[in-house]
Amino acid sequence: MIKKISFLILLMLIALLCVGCSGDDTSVQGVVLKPPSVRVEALPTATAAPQSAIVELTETPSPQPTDPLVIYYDPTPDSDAIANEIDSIIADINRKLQNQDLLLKP
Amino acid sequence: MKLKLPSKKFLLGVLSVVIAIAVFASVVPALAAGSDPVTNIPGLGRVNDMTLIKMHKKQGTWFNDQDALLKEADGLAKAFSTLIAAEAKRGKNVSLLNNGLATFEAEVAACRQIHLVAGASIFSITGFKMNGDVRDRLAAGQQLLDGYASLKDAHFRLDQAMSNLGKSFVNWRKLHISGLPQPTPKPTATKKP
Repeated sequence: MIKKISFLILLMLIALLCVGCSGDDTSVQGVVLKPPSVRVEALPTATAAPQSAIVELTETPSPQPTDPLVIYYDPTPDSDAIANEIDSIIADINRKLQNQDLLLKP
Repeated sequence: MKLKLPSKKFLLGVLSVVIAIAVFASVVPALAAGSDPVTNIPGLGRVNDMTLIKMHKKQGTWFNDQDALLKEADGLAKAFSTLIAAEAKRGKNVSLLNNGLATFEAEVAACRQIHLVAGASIFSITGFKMNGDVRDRLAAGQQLLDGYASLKDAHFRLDQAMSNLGKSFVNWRKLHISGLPQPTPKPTATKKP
């Protein structure tokens, strides 16, 4: 008798668990926001005048002396692409060489 | 509701049958393998035929992989040549790249020779049959040892060649990107008339 009751209780517990797990979808739903409403009268009608007048420069700036040691490399798109290709091939070959199993016995 | 469990006798019977099957399955292959005469192979020890076949297959895969790597190295050399041509056209100093490429091509050619020697010994039919089975244990063992030595030699040479080429490429890039000036020839003294 006790065994029957305990078996029934166990079944009820499992059923309760199943019911509890199959609840509604509680994931957050996206809320559609309305665009902000603006009264037409509140919109600005005129643009503000610039604060300072533009000063015209008459003197041309003197050229700055460049450092003779710094020569910037200006690769053409072709050279750059080839250099990148070389980089990737070198990396690929090196990776394969490192991954090679060098043991004689399996 | 009454659950009817199988009797103890029945459970014990099933368990003993399972144990018997497991023991049978583990012992039979061992007996089958043990039936081969496992003679000593110099350099390899007492390896059975199954192990020799596995080693042979592994070396075949290594050979094919290395073959693909050597082809990839050829592609790398071609890309290097293209870069050299493009930079020379722009009037850049490409002597560093040229030297690096020449060394690399020579090393790859040497690797290929060693690799072919490896292939000749791995795929020889003196030790192994065409279907991969062992024909002659001693010859098979020697074949495996020779093939392994050559494959490893080619591998390390290619690795070294890659390292040297990578260094040349990095140095060239440093010179051109950091803007370090190329060494200029020293002016030689001339006698005044």
